[in-house]
Amino acid sequence: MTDLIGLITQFHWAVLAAVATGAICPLLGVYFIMRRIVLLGIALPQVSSAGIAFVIMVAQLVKLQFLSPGASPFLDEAMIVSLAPFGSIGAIFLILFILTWLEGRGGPFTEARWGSTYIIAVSLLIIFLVINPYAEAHVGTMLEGRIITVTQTRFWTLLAVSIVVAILFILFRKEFILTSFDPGMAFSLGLRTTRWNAGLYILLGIVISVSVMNLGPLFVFGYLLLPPFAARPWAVGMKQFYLYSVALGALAAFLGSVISFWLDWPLAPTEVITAALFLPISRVAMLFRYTISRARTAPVSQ
Amino acid sequence: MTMGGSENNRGLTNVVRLEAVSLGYGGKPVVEDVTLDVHRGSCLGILGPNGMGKTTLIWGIIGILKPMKGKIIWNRKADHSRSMRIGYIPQKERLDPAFPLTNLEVVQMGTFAERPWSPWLRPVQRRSALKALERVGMRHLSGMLFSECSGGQRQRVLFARALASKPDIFILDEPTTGIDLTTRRQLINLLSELHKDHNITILLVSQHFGPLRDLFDEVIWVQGGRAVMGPAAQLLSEEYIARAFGGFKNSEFEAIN
Repeated sequence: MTDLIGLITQFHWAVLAAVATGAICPLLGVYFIMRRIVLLGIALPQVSSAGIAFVIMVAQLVKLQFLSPGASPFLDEAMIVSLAPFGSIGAIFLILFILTWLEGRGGPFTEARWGSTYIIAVSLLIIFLVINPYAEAHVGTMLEGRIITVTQTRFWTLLAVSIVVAILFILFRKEFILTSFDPGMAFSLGLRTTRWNAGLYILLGIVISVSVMNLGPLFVFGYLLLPPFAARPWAVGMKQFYLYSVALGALAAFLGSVISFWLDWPLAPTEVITAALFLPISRVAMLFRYTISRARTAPVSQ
Repeated sequence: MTMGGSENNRGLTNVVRLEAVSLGYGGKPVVEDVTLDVHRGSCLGILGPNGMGKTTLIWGIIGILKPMKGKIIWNRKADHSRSMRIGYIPQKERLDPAFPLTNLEVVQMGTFAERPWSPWLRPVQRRSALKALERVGMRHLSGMLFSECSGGQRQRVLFARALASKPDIFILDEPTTGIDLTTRRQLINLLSELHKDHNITILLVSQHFGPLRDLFDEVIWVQGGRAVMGPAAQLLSEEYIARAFGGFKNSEFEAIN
């Protein structure tokens, strides 16, 4: 027990980063469930990873081209950390721009586009990692989501971005919900759905970019999807849906960190499995509630 | 291609005017060369068989679809959002049950235009939404999930949402499809009351015009890419329909009547 508390204390920035991301991802993730765009949710973290791998590959190849004799061929950590956001955000915004533009043109193949985005991103990621001779040394750490390496600076950056995104999301939630639920009504009130969709995608893009850099694509997709999915049957009204999703996400992220340190399992997969455990718990609890409410309303036999 | 009276020759004010408008998808027109006026305070039925472009026409009027040709003018302006409020009631099947919205939340959407840049709803907006729910007999279910309501209840909630938006014009897309007879009668009575007592302009799309026939002042027939407008009494007669659409059989007429 003392060891466990010691580990949590030692890696408290990692735990805090997991909890912060565990809270912000479900807040936006509710839209992946409601708008049935889960495939886009899988694709975007991979796009972010491919973007990171791309810029680091280019920097590495440039460095090798101009490498002085005897100098280290490795990119230094500061350079990787400063380049990664450009790759991540650049790739996500490029893809979102293309997808939003295609969405504005209409057509029945939206899901096929997201699926294509996913498979192209994964393939490019593998190719970039193969081309970069030193990828394993530094890019792998970032892409696998070694949460344990999160530093104080990275945590505060992550938190600041999460807070700004959450505030913007709260300020414009009315528009996001209306344009998502009933685009026709939104249009009749003068809202331009393409612009509001783009706004929602930008917020998603920012959160996914920053989160993937710190916690990896596995954690990010897991927390975009699982907490809102577990919370959905309990939600009566949007406020409840947001609150339950965020609370479940933060709780699962904290419990996942504890379980990971306790069992000495890798953090990201353990966090995801912990969040996934809430799915059967949620369903069983719902069944239990339903059974009790039926028993209460059933007529008493003579 | 046809012909509502203009403001000048009939002395009526137009709420919406379509001038030689063509609308469609992916470069293919569904309705072509439509010219018509929707007069303030009128009740206009957009009728015709399924898949002929009735919804396309109202999507053009709302602004969801941009005209491929021609222009649409709302209250003499090129942008309806600056000139009038539209109370739009879509086909209820288009609204996804994945959203855990309560009936009150759905109706409150109708009040968003009152304070478009405020993220918070004022108590008066909530009261207005509750009042609208009460008017359609759904106040007692305000906290229920919209997705758990029956077809008729959903339609009433959407009606309340349109009421809450205090519209200059109601646009309803197939409001009587898939709902029980009692609810249908209630909705028609409510529409009739709004139209006659409050002089609200109504644009109603339907493929079954029988129960709505007494409501309409004018009718637009949409079929085969054409739209023909005229007085309801004239255009809803079997003789006129057969003549105008040549080949429109009695059995088809009966099916939609």
